[in-house]
Amino acid sequence: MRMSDKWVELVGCSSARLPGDLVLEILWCVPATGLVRLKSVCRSWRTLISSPEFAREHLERSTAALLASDARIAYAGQFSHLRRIGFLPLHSLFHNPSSPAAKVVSSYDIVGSCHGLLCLFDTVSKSRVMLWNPYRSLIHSVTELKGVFVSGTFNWLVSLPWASVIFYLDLRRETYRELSLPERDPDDNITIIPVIGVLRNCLSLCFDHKKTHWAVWLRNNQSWTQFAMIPHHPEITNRFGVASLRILYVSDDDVLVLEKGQNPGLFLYYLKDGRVAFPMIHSFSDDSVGMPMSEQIGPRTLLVYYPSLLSPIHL
Amino acid sequence: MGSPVKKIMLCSSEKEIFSVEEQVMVQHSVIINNMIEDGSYNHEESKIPLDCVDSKTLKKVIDYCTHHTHHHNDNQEDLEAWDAQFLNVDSNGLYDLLMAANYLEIRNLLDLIYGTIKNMIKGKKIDEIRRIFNIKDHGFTPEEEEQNRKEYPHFY
Repeated sequence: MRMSDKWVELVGCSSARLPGDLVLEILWCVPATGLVRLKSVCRSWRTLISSPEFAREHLERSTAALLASDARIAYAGQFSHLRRIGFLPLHSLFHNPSSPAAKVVSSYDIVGSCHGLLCLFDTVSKSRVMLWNPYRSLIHSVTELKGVFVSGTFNWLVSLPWASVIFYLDLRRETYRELSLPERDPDDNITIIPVIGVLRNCLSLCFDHKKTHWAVWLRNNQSWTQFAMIPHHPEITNRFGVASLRILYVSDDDVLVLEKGQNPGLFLYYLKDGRVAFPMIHSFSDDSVGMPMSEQIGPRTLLVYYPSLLSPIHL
Repeated sequence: MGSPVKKIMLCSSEKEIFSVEEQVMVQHSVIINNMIEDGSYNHEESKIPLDCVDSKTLKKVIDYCTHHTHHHNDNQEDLEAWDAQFLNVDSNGLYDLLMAANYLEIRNLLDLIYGTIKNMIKGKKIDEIRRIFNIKDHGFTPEEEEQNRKEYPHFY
């Protein structure tokens, strides 16, 4: 049975007045923004409109000129101290130049769009990228943009509400694969997003363990091994709360350099005796705030890199 | 004197016979065009039976095809005004026309009707849309319906 026949059968009994094939033809004509409303009309329409196959077919048909009037402008920016994303129908520009736009307050910037999805970039963490369909449920996937490079592979962690997975690109074999994370304990706080990094030339992973520790894992010989457990030390949680930790470095004598998720906060954890230390980083000499950089709050990016003699044009 | 205009016979569900210029129907209806081309229509004795189209609707369809054949050079605005007036019927009349246009495969009339229905339901409340499509049983449980109303109060 062809997909379109299935759809006709599905909506066949919905209307007491029109046969299914004509109901389906009418639904093809309705732009995506209008279909959202039609999902509440009856169960068979909801099933139809919610199906990915219908969405794909509708997209193909709606690229035809017939639905060009559904085109929208999406904009993002800082408006009166708040970062907002707004939408307005493109054709309203021609008819009514002062037409108001629907506004969404958010900390995201728009990177691009494809197939009715907007690609958003988190301007606070400066690392999260997500796909968003404004006319369906909110966020469709969340990706940590900061990938890590380790032994010939480039790795990204993708956190979805129900699971996290690592995607990696093997540059030598030019293959693209998925890697599952170590199994989680049901007591883990999974709202704390796992963070990947590189430790001792291995892929590393840090996430909450039973709401009492941060577990640090290393990927060695195709399997995950637990490298360290960092307790929710009051000195850490009093300063930063319980949040995602990024592991920047581990020294030969087992001192970890860690960074707390989005806001700045650099600290050392001594694996041998469980001590915590908060080193001070002085400010730039021309910084008018005068506070040490390690004390200032606000989004920033922090990473460990190794100086080399390479020139970018040699890559 | 030119040659007499070729006519064809269309027969409605009430067995009423309509005599129409062949060219008018051939230009608009894929089905009739095919019948004439493959020779299955005999001008001496054939009538094309349209068992699912009543006389009132068939007359409207013939009006549409006739107007669009003889006035296709009119400016777009005049044609659109005529179309709007032509489709100024109740939803039952519109659905009868839709089914006739679908049966006879009259593409531009179909597009016109789909566009009209699309505009008819645009921004309408859910209950009105159910009425327009004559949806008797929406199939949601009372709890789901309540949830829908809570989630999208502006749709109701």
